[in-house]
Parts: sequence; structure tokens; C-alpha cells
Amino acid sequence: MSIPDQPAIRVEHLIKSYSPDRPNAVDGINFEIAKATIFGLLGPNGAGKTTTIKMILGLVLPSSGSVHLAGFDMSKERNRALRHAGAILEGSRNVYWRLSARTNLEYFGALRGLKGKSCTQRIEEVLELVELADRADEEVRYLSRGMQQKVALATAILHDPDVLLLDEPTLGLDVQAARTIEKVIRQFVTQHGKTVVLTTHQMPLAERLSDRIFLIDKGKRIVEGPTREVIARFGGQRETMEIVLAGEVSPLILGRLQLEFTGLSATTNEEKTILSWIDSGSQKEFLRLQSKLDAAGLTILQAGRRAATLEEVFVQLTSHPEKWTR
Amino acid sequence: MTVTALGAEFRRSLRLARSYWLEYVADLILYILGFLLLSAVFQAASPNYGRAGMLSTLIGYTTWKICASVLEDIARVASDEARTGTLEQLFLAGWPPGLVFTGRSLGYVISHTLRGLILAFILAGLLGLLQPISPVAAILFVLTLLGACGLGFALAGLTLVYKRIGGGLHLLWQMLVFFTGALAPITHPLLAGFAKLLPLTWGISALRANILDTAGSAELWQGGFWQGLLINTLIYLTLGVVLFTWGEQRARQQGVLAHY
Repeated sequence: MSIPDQPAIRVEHLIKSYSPDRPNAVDGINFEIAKATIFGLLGPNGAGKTTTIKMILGLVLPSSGSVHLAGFDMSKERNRALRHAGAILEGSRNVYWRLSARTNLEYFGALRGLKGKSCTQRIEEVLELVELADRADEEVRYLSRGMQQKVALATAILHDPDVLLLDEPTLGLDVQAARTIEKVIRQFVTQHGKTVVLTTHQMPLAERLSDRIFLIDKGKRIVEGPTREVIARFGGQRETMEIVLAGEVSPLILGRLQLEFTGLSATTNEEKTILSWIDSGSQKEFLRLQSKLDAAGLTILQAGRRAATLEEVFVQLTSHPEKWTR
Repeated sequence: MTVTALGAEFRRSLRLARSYWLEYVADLILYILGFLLLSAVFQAASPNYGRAGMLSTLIGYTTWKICASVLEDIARVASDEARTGTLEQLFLAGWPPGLVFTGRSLGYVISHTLRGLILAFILAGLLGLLQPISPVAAILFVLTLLGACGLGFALAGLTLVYKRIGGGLHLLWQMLVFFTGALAPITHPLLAGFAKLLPLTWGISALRANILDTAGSAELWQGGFWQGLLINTLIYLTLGVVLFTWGEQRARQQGVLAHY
């Protein structure tokens, strides 16, 4: 049992320096994660997310600061704490590819202290949960990337941990596999009252799943709070202007526009280009953008405003992290 | 660590062995051919070699083969697991990593010992070399194996930090073949002195004295075999614990556990 009345994870003044010649990989971050929540740890590449996750799990030792997992101090009671945690780590296979899904689960289950009938029963449960029951006896190396990741997820939740740390769990997965993983994560929290720490570059996924987000860049905290509040705070006042243009926009023109209008992003296909821009809401700025588009010979098919997304807020906040870093 | 977990380690190595069956078959063939070739060379070089010489070679060769294979496998656990992307998951098991590695090592010890001894007995039977094995011989063998495990752990600790130790392992493998008296007893005084510092040497000498010369426990004590073997094993075990603990700590400090 984890220690009652304690947050699932508490991180205090956490610093990691790999070398005195390089900036700190993690630079004095603090956060608490309440039980039964999904905590999105977000940031661009090299922000310090994976180092933070690995420090929480005791795989990387902090230079200073402390981590409490399930109420246990990681520097003193690492093994007890880890019995309450499961993890999928980015860049690793996490399971043995030359063994079947079932054998992997039997092995990791035994390593986690599960035995006998209860272990067999639990293995069947998690295989059903990740929709792998019919492929459970095939060697993992013959399964698709999505199925391999499902095996890793099944292994991580097999011993019914209180806290699950997932570093890019849906990276490179097709829509179906990603949805299964999303469903399992949601069930894990809502039905079983567990806690999940999620790092991902897929902002729509983070927005759908995370109760709270912690945005980090260059090892420092940029912003933290309930997901809706963060979007409302940084995106709400500045609604997103969405402009649909006819045809494709050349990268050169787009680059110039992005230089001039901070936070402007574009998605394009052969027929149309959609420009999204978190603007100040000022008519003057919109007219200036419109004149630039006219000057570039671009035809506006449609223009309107909608609420900002987490992705847009993320782009805005990480474009000038120094503005927000505290 | 529970017996269940140790059992799981053993079953895992058996299943993986099934997956890599060709490598295992090749290893067995090499073992048999290696012994027959060595015996033929020694026979040609010395007409007095005979049955006793062949049994002496079989004792040394089998002990070396089992211990060196266990040592190499333990030393390679960290790099192999890092390569398969599962090393960090072993560190997340909720047990001290040394204990998890001990469980894994036990799997190697059982599998290599069974394979080595079964083959040795088959060879001894076919060549008319069968000899009763006393409990003392079993204890001597276990102590020798423990020393090899100790060195394996020391190398595993270094692998956690420095990753590639293939060259060093190769050199060690050669030293264990030629300088421990595994193939033939070492008579040169300088080499004999050096050999006593290595693992296996004391064990192989003591096993030969016990099986070939029927030296009992008391005679082995008088001959200094017990003392030498115990001290040697203790030193390598201590070295294993110290270097593995250091390596684990250092790798976590540098954040290089998953690197390979």
C-alpha cells in the first residue's frame, strides 16, 4: 500500500547536472501530483522530461533535490517506492522481443512478486484490457509496433501499480493502437483511482487526457496548472484566428509570415491551407495580416475565431520560454 | 527476492535458449571437438599422457568451460539487457539490482553447470574415464564457480559504466584457458605464482587432487588447497560486490543505464 494522505508524487527543488560545462538538464523544478490524476509533463525535445521521469523512478540520480513516490523517499526507500510504480520508457523496448507477450508477463509478474493462480488470472485480465488476448502466445518480435507497445503497457500495469509513468507511450503508433492505449490510461485513472504521469509530443492526446499539465523547457518550469485553466489563461484571452486560404502556401512566404506574426502555424494540403494564429484579438493586427496575405497573392476563403488548443498554447509558450520561466 | 522470481529467471533463460538453439548446439559441438582435439594433441606430445592425463584434462577443461561461460554471461548481462532495451525495467523491479542480477546469474549457473556436467559425464563414459565424484569435489566446484561469479559481477559493474568490455573479456578468456592450468597443470614457478592470483586455478588444482589423487578433505587442507581456494573466492566475491555497487551508482549518476 502507498502511504495514505500523501501525494502520488512530490518533487522538490530537483536539479540534474550531467556536466559542469553544460546547462542543467533539470533546473530546480517543484511539483506535486495528487492521486487519481493524469499529469501531462510536456516540453520540446531536450526540455528535461525524460530525465525528470527517470529521476522520479530512481534510474537517474538527482544532483540535488528530492523525490517522493507513493509517499516514499526515493533516496532512502527506492525499492519500496518502486513496488508502487510501473513505467514505459521512451527509446526502449521495455519487453523481451524473443519471448511471447504471455511469457513476458509471466516473467515480469514473477519479478514483481506475483505468483500462482492470481498471477495467471491477472495476466488474462491485462491481456484482455490491451486487446491482445488472441495474440498473446506469439513472440513479440512478430507483432506490430502498436501491439508491442501494448505488451509494454500490459507489463507496466500487471502488478497493479499506484503510479504509472509513461514516456511517449503512443510514439509511432497507428490511430487504433493509440486509442487503445489512451482508453487503458483513462480507465486506469477513472476506474481504479490510479495516477499517471504522461510525456508526449502529441498535444491533442495530452489535451484530451491530462487533468494538469506541467510545461518544462531547458530544465525549467514554464507553466503549471489544470489543463483547461492553462489553455484559458494563455490561449483564451488571445483567441485563435483561423484563416482558410486557397491552395498551398510556399514555405518561403510562410516562413516570412511566421517571423512577423509570432505563434502563426499552418497545415496545408493541395486544395487549401489553414493558418492558425493566437492573436491579441485586435482588428488592426488582423488587418495587417490580411494585407500581407493579399500582397502575397493569397486568397482568403474563410476567416473566423475559435478557442485555442493546447498545441497552440504550447507553441506560443515555448517560442519564447524566457518570458515565462520562473 | 522470491523463489518465484528466481524460477521465472530460470524459465526465461530456458525459453530464450530455445529461441537461440543454433548457438547452443554449436557451443556443445565446439566443447566436444575441443576436448577431443586437445586430448589428441597431448597424447601425441607425451606417450605417458594416457587415461590419467585425459581425465586431468577433462577436469580442467570442464571446470574452465562452465566457470568461464558463467563469468562471461554474467559480465554481459548489463550490455545485453541494455541492447534489448530491458535493463531499466530490471532496475524497476522493486528489488536491489544486485539481487535481480543474482537471480539472473543463478539461471546461468544452473544451465551452464547442467550442460557442462552432462557432457563431461557422457564424454567420460564414452572414453572410459568415469570416476566416482565425492561431496568434497562438489564443494570445491561450487567454491570455484562462486569466484568466477564474483569476477563476473565485477565486470558487469564496469559494463554498466563503460559499456563495451568485449576486448577485456576476450583477454580474460584466454588467460583463464592458458594460465589457470585448465588444460594441463602449470609447472613453471613464475607462471604458477601468477596463476594463483586468477580465479579457477585453485579450484582446478584441488579438484584434480581430489578426483585423480583421491586426496580427502584433510589432505587438501594440509596441501593448502582449501585455504587458497577460500581466500581466492572471497577476494573475487568481494571485488564483485564492490565493483557492481560502484558501477550501478555511477551509471545512475551519469544517466547512462540504458546506453549501450
